[in-house]
Amino acid sequence: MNSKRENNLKEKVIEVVNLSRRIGLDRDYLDVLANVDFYAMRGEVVSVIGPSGCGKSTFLDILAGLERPDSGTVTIRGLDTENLLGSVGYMQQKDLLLPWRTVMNNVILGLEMQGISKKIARRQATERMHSFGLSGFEDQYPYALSGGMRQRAAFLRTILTDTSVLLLDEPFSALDALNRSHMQEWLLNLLESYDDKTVVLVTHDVEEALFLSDRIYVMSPRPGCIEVVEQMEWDRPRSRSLFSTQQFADTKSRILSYLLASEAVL
Amino acid sequence: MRKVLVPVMEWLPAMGIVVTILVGWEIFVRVWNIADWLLPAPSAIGYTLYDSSGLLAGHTLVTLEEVVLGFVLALVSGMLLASAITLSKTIEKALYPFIIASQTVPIIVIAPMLLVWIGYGLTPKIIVVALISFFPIVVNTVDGMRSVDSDMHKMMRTMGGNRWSIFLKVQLPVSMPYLFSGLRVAIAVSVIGAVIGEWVGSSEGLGYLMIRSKPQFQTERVFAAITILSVMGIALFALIGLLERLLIPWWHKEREGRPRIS
Repeated sequence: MNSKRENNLKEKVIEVVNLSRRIGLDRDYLDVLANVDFYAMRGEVVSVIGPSGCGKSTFLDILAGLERPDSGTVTIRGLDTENLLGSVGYMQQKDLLLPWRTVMNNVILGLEMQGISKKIARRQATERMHSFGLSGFEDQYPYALSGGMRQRAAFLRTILTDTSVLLLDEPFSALDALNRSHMQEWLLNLLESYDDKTVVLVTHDVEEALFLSDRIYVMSPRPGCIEVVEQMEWDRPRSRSLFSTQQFADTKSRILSYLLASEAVL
Repeated sequence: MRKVLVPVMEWLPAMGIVVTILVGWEIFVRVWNIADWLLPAPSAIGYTLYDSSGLLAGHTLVTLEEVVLGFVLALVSGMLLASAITLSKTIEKALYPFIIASQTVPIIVIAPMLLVWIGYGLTPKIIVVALISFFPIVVNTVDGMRSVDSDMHKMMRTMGGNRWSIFLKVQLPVSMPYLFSGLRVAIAVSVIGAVIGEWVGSSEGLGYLMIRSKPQFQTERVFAAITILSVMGIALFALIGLLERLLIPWWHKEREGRPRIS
């Protein structure tokens, strides 16, 4: 482990203490999240995994500043929930590219809203087009792109806003298995070069979580609360050969059994 | 060659219907010896179109001007209203009932009143056209602006977007295909609006010509005017479609689902 990463890991970027969120009014309410404790250090990739409907997306909405918690505190780089909007990068399941904008004009959308001139924004985007596998497609419209390319364009749009925290909500769930594997490896490599970014990845693909993250939070069904925390000890850079190690298989089956046990309760 | 043939083939059914009706009509009039003032034969209407082309052209230009100006007024006011309604709940609640009410008052009642208030000339006709055609524009555009889904709103807000930037960068462009649907309906009723405006009081235009020709038993002239109005409606409708393809090309490509580069 290099010293920069070691230094990074001393800085707590996200801290969530005793977070609860309830939806609805008076007697007609639903507890979505209950007593969630969570943290992420600088440069870490942290996954949140859980059965569908466990409140994962609500959790990300709160981290992004889109929703307020009913109790508990959320602090991201010293900011509380009131001030988070616009300072946390959030990539949702759908790519949400604007069909009337070219790839270039789509990826600079965030910079445009930060008031950065189009010329500077385009230059910043051009530098990164290649590593996002989009060079040559700058002037294409989204309809001409494959699912993987659309997702990478959406990711570049998020990265360009230059926030230190990235929230990824099941970014590859719409892709087929082969494309998903490609994208996971691509993301893993990419994040090596963005080692200052703190990434929160929501997924229900256990292997994806194991492969990409430093730590995994397993959530219970509604009301979602953190059941288990697993620390991934394997070193970076990682490769797919990790999948055939005993430790990987053991951790995978442990997490799967938590998930299956909690599903059975439903 | 195929480029020419395919559109011709597409129009063949419509042309077939038109030709069949015209031929049947011609035979009917000739065999039963129907008087021209009662029902002129298509050939007689065709001859009038040719013979009175100068007269007809002058009145056509007047009506066309009313249609186009009224339509543009409806487009501008319709989009402004739709934007205000989308941006403010208060404006929506204050204005929407009146917008709907404006459509339930028969235009045939409003038109003579406008004549009393504003007088003869171009202005009351433009207002009648705009009144009749702004409604589909407003309703469609509002629907379009509201069709932006909540994930898109979330995305814009996390990137620092506010009410206004979301409106400009997402809601307005999203509403464009809806606007064009509204415009197609609007242009068709615009022609009706202009004719009604002329009927209640005017000294020129195709509507005026029809009202004048009927008591003089110049029925073939009435039918010539109807023919011109139909052609005008179809041409303006096609023009809207052309503008749509030019201004929002992404919409058709998105819908056609062209093969994707992988």
